[in-house]
Amino acid sequence: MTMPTQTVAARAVGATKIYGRGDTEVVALGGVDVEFGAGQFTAIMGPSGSGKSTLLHCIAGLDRLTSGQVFIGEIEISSLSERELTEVRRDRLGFVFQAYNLVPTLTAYENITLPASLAGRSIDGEWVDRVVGAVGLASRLSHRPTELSGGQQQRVAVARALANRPSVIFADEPTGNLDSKASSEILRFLRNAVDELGQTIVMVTHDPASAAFADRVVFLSDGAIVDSLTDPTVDSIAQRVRSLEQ
Amino acid sequence: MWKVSWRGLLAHKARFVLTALAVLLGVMFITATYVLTDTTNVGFQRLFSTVNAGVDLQVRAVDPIGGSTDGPGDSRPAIPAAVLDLARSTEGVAEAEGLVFRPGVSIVGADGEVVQQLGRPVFAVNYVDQLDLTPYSIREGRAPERPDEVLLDSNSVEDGDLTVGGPVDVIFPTDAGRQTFTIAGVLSFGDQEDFSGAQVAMLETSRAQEVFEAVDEFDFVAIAVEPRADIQAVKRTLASSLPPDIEVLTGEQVTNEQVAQLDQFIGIFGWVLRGFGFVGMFVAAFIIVNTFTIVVSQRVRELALLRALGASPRQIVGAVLAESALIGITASAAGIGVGYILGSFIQTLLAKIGFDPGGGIDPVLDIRTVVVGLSIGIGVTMLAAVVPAIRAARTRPLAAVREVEAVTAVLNWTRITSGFVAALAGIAALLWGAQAGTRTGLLAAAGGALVLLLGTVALGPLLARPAAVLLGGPVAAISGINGRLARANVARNPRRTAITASALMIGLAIAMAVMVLTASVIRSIDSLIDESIAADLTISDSGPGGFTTALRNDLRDVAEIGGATAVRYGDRVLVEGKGTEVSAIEPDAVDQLLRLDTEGFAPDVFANGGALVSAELADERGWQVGDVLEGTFPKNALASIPIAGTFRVQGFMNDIVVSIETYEDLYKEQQDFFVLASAAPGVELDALRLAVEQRIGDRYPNVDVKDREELKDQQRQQAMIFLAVFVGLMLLTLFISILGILNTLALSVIERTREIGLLRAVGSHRRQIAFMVEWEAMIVALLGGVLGSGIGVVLGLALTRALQDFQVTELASPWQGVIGLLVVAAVSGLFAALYPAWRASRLDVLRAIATD
Ligand SMILES: Nc1ncnc2c1ncn2[C@@H]1O[C@H](COP(=O)(O)OP(=O)(O)OP(=O)(O)O)[C@@H](O)[C@H]1O
Ligand SMILES: [Mg+2]
Repeated sequence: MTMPTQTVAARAVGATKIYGRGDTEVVALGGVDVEFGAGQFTAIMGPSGSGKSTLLHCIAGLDRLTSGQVFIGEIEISSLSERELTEVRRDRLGFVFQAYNLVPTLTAYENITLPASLAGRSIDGEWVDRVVGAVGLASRLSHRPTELSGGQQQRVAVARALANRPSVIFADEPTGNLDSKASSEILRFLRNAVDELGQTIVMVTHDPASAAFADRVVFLSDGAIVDSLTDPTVDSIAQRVRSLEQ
Repeated sequence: MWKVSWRGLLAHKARFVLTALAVLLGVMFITATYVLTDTTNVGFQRLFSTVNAGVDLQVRAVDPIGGSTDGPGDSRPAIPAAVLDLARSTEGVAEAEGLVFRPGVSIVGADGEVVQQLGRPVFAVNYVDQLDLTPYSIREGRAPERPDEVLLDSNSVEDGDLTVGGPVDVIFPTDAGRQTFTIAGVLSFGDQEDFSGAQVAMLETSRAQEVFEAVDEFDFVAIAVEPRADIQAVKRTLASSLPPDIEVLTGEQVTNEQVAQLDQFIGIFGWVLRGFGFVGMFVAAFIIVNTFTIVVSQRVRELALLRALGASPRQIVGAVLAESALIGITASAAGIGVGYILGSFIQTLLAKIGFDPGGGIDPVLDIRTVVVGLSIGIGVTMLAAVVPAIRAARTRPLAAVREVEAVTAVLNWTRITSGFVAALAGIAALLWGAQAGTRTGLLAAAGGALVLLLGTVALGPLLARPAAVLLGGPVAAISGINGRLARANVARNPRRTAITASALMIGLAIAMAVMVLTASVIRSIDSLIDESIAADLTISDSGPGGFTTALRNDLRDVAEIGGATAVRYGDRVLVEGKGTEVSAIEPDAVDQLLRLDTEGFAPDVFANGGALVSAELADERGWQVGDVLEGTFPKNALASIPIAGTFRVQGFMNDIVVSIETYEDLYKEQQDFFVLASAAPGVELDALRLAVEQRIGDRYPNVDVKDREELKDQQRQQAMIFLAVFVGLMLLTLFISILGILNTLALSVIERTREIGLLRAVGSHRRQIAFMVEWEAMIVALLGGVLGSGIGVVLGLALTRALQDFQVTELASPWQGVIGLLVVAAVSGLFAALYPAWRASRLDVLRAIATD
């Protein structure tokens, strides 16, 4: 399927990340060019150590490139100050990590509205209600993270990411700690967000079944993009993964 | 397991640095006070051996009161000059000299002001041919040959800008008053150029006796025996030929006696100072508990792994205690070192301002100091680590695989119950003790205070949550999410919060109690002056002592004065078998210048050897007006004094008040401590003051004229100085508790690395993270402040109540103090949080996320 004339929500140009120096130098990203279309659900796959997390962190403004550029919409973030970068994260991006997504002292609701609170913005109650309803957490809002199951915690994290109406949601193995039922629930939410709300999502995953929820899969190996698949299925992904591992 | 302890320390060294610093500070303070008092002691020992260097024997009167008074100018009567002749003719005596040695002298400098250093006593002594029997020698000039010649110490000459051969005025605290002399020479003291700040005026003997109204008398006779004579034998011979009220001592005995008196004083002083060190150590213990608890909980996986690999709980306890021992040893050793340096430094400072007994001796580091420093440092550290160590040992091997949850809220009911019981018992003991007003009561009150403090510490965790809600409420309201997070962080580990706040609470409670007490004392002084003195003007020495009785005489014909009286205070004497102090005033003053509120006052009896007795003492001893009291007095060994009335308002008077005339019959030394004066009818206060000042003029630069307000000011100032010194010393405790907040927060920040990273990832500015930590610190500090000022107020009021017998009658409102203290607490919290807040705001977002 060809995308309709799409805008780019985020892109990296010549993204290079080198850790360490001299003997201990590790090239985690070796000049990656990649674009993530608005309203698209992209999965990033690749062997362990291939640079998936590094790429995600750099595009999401959590880490800085050694060289190259990252754009969120029209904003070139590599040149932003720490302060401006923080505001970009707060106001334009959403995050879901593999674990430890929530502040333990805040209730589920407070966690969901955290970015707005941090910005001192008033909360769009209607929208938050809708998001909360969508992830099925309405009855759990006053609970603290410790009182929620792992799957529920991840749903809160997704809700938090959505509540902010970000340009892009970045997720690093969001279902890595969950069983397959809870996993597919989370992935279905993400999928729905893309389909119904036009949300842009970039997700790192190991699991072909998870990646199959995406519109496109980008394959990373040794810090370079080696392949990509549009409208993937579990089978086609598994095949590519196998061929990459050879 | 030692290896594990050692590694554990190395791996977490930053976390232990502040703990060690807290221990170090406490030990440092204790060491420094020991060094200071030991050095001073050794200095005085040397000083007194110099004073008595050439003296083998000393003859003096037996103290009729039986040693209940101390120091020079005690209540010993003078001895007749005949004793000197007797001594000289005694077998084995080589040289003997009679000495008159009196304090309370003022030397007037060239500028007309009194030459005085640090308010220390200035002595007058007579010149004797055998100067070897005194600590003095003539450094410049010659012996006084005429009654109007004087020798002065070098300090007085230099500081007073005086010259040998020139004139100098000396003011005596006797009828002699101010007299002019010619300086015949300069004295040096022992082998030292200067006198360690002491001043002396040496007069020709007959003049000295005349000035001090001791004609044909000496205060003591100093004797050097023949080179080969047996001192003890000579002592016995001499003693056998003297009446029983005159005693003979060896030079060594005299030195020991003087040293013992000072030892006692310096000892008390040292223990008071050290008290602050102990409070500091107590507070440090809280920090140690917190640090170990946090570090243990952070290492729970490591410990669990050790347990899984077969380490027994006992080995774990051992490992943690070994860590604490290592910290204790290092910190105490360093504390002793730094304390020694600090002690030496203060010694040098004191020497600079003229307090240097013995003159430049090396600071003394007694073995006892090292032992005490080490045992307290190591003991406190290890004791404080016991509970965390036991908790560490309870780690189950399974914890290695479990996620560590930072939010804990286990409330221990035993703890809460015992806390409540302790707090209530403490308050009860405090109130009862304060009410009782006895010595036992005071002890009970002090014990109660301690128990109350400990009870509050135990209850702390229970209070942490409500405090977070109450104190954090406004914070959350004004600072939004950061405040809410801060408030939640305060509540998430109640025990940790409570311990941190308790450390601050203890110092603040004590400071608050002293503030309330001082404020009460100040108010009591005000009302004391208003209620007991009717006079318009008060004349007193600018130092702590008395002044010449001549001044009062000079005022007799001042027309503006309607009434005046001298006020004298005597040393402790025995009246009807009990030690009592006596004051003296002029008979007219009873109704005019004082407000004694007398009952059954018989002016005739009073004017003719009678006494007014405080109603309280009369009640206590069952005395009636008209009874005759038997007393033992310095001058007139036994005297009978009829009671001429009782008085209710004691004010500045002692329990027994006699007339000046009576006093002169009873006491050897005559000096006035106050002269009170009132204006004659129709004379304005200003006119009175002007007249009095003109009459005293430049003649007595050692006295000040004060009106009622100035008198209050002066008295208040003394209380304020006490408060200032006390608060200054409490800063040590405050500083240690600030370290506690700093350490706990820094450790908490490390513990919350992930959480902070998450906050940063979803858009928290660094500034916001820093604010969050600052707010948290402030809430904890305010909790400490609220608890501390609460307990402090109770304590202060109880103390004030307990001191009612000491004329502390007014209770001061503590509100200003409370507010001040809360501000101090909040500022301390903010200050302590600077570093942890900075650390937290600088945490690398990715590291924070990646931490596992
Ligand atoms: N902070 C760091 N310092 C040094 N090297 C690093 C750092 N972070 C990552 N690397 C290295 O960079 C490379 C890419 O790491 P990255 O975490 O991006 O891999 P990944 O694809 O996410 O792997 P995984 O699937 O295991 O999560 C790896 O070789 C890793 O060792
Ligand atoms: Mg990864």
